Amino acid sequence: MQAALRNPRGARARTLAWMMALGSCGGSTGHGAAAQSGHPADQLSASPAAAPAASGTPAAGARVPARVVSEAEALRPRDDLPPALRALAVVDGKERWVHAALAEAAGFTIVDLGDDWTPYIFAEQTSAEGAPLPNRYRRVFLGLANDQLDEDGETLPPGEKNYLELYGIPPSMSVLRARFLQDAEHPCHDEESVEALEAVETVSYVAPEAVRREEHRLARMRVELEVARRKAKVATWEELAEKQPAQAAKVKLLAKRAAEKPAMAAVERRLTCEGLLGTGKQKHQTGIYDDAMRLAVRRFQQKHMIYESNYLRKKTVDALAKPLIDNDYEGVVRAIRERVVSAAAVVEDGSTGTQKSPVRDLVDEYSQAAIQQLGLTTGEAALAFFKRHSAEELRTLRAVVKLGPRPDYYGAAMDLSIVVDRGDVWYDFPVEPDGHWKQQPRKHYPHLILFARWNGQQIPLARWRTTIGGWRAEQASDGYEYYRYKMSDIGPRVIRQVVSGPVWIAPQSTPIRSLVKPKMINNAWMKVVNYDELGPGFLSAYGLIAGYFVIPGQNGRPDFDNGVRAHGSSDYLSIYSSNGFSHGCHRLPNHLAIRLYSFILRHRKMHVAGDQPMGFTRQFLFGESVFEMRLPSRGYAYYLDPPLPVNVLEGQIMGEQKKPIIGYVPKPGVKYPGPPPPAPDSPEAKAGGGAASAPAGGGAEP
Amino acid sequence: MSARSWRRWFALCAAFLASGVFLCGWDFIEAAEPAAALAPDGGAADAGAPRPMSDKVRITFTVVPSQTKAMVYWGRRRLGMIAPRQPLVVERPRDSGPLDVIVRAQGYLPVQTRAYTFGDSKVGVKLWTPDQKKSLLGYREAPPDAGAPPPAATTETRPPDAGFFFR
Repeated sequence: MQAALRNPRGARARTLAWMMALGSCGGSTGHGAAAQSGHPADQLSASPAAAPAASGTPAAGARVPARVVSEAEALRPRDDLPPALRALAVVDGKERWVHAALAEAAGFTIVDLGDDWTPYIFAEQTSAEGAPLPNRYRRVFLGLANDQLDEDGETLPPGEKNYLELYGIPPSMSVLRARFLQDAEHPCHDEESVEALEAVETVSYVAPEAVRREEHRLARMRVELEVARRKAKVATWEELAEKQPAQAAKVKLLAKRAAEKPAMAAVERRLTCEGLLGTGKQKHQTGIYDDAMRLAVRRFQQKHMIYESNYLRKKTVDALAKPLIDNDYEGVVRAIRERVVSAAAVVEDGSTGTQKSPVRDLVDEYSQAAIQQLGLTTGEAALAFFKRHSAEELRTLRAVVKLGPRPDYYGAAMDLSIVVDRGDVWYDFPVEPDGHWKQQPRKHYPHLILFARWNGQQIPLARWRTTIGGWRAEQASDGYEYYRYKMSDIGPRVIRQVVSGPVWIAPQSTPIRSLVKPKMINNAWMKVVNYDELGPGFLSAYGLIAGYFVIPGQNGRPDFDNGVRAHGSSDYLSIYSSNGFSHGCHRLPNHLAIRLYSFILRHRKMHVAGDQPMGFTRQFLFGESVFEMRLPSRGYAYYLDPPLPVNVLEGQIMGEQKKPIIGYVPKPGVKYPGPPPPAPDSPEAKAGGGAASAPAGGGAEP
Repeated sequence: MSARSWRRWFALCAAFLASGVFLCGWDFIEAAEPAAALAPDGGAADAGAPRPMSDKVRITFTVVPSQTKAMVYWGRRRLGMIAPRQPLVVERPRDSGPLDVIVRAQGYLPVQTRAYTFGDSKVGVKLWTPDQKKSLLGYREAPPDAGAPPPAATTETRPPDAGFFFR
């Protein structure tokens, strides 16, 4: 050892020899139960092409040394190793560098905490011949996670932050480190603000133009209550409310509004201190929920992954009342969770259980194990960790953790399938003649469920809220918008093709207004094609990843693609809102879609097809300008072989209309040049999916 | 010619070149030599052995009809001119993000398009006269009893909280 330390070249040569000897054994100890039970899942996922080159994504894909290594040997301190070979372990409460490959051989899991970590779907891949298959979006994903690039892949202005966790891109550890160190200097937390925020559950939204009217209304209410109090000869309004229950609602409302004023002031202080309010071009008027405030709250929600609409509702207010370090700590926990999920290649998050019959939550179990073992149990511990480890060290940091065994149904080629339950479905036209939307209540919402069949049992692994199609605005061939029911197909399908960084080719029926957006270019605002919507990107209609539902072709015929996909989405309110619908596809929040497909790709036989060049262009008119969309690629494709079975259940049909209405329905109040033109019947137009002119189904592909 | 005259000539030429670069700005440098460096098909002149990947990419802008003179703008900045039957070739750092540009030509509608910087690329832009816009996707005629078509960006009544999104 000492000789090796004195002679680094000799140490490297010995390490290389070790690696070769271990690697040549061909077996795997891999992760957890897979290692003990000899699960082939930890050895291969399919062809050699499927093995990721990226470090730290080993559980199912990478070759792992097979020699049995004792824990003591694996955890021997190795300060001599270069970053590429070492990993951080915590032994008896003290950190040390150990040999990563030996630790893996001893049954530990290597969690990649480095700045160049991506989920499996964006990992570097190679072809069967070993040629690299670069993924264009990987660079952008890493740039976004590290606050270096914007959504177009252009350099982010200095000091700008992305805050994209809500959209499936967790911040890198270096970004979190910078956040911790900065927030430790400026706590932005005082007792007065906490008391004010804890006194309310939400802060009511009053539109800026309605503030004065609302103040008059409240003033009138105060006068009325005061008159009533005197008449009733009681000392306070609370006594009045007890004596006259009819007045209770008014008393409660005034008390709520009174408590909201200091709460709003506390929110303003906090957002200003956190650098989210008062930094942009929008001017904020104190006490008003104006555009500047709305944007600041939105940034706050994005920063702390709060799935809530853009108002001061419960989760947002709760987070605003917490110390910065506590919120930052939750961010670290979430970031580690995604990396642990990726390293362990698991998906079970407890979502299939109920309160009465809970199920194993491997996502939480493993994340907590990793956090405990790394000693990152509190915000203070995380702050100390980031102070100990420089940004330079975090760039390549990997950690060694011991995770519990995975269930026995794990393997290299798991018998997985998806069921989409459409829940309660309304086909009735929902718009009144005056343009208002009728309520179409649903008790059962659509869900996507991932199953594993094992030993004759159908085991649900994850069950997540998703979307089905509904009534949407669509542009007809006459250039006018109509409503059309966008159907989510029912029945058996398969997913043959999974595309990361997918591109949505907007069908010609897409309302033109949604295809154009303003963008600042070289200090000038320009109207440009809305590539946010088309992708690739986290805001794209297909999110960060999509699986294409097709009916398998029979007797040599190609697959039939009706344009329906299960894909990631940044439009999380359409997934979680009671009135949210898609154009026919099944949406998942981006981070869950990433987990789903990363899991499927690592536990099914598949091959990596790589980037799918396309060269699609289309011009369209908007105002007096022509816009040209240019899409050089469809995304980065993986092919499942055999394809993944999918079944879409019809659900409960509500209302009077028992079959979907075909064709366009005019929008109330709009003057049209004539009767509605016939609705197009192409797959992409039906479901709003892509594949306008490019082969989307797997039939034509290998 | 005496040595002194040579020096004077040399200084004059150098000053002329320097002023040219100054007046034309960096556009002159970035908008590299156009058609001459390209093969007849517009591709790279040397189709031989694979070369190491350059850290710059070349974007070749052309328009249809090709005899049209057009200007290419990138925000406020003028990237250069597409001369009749002569493409505009622009060099950009590889992977530096896309270029959203507007192509303007007299007598035609402006066209907004995008060039990528993953690799060398050609951007051929079809131009449309105002009379031709009826053929474009998105064109719509006014309803019979209205003077002008309704505005393109319609206000849509949405169900409460549905599809509320921050873009």
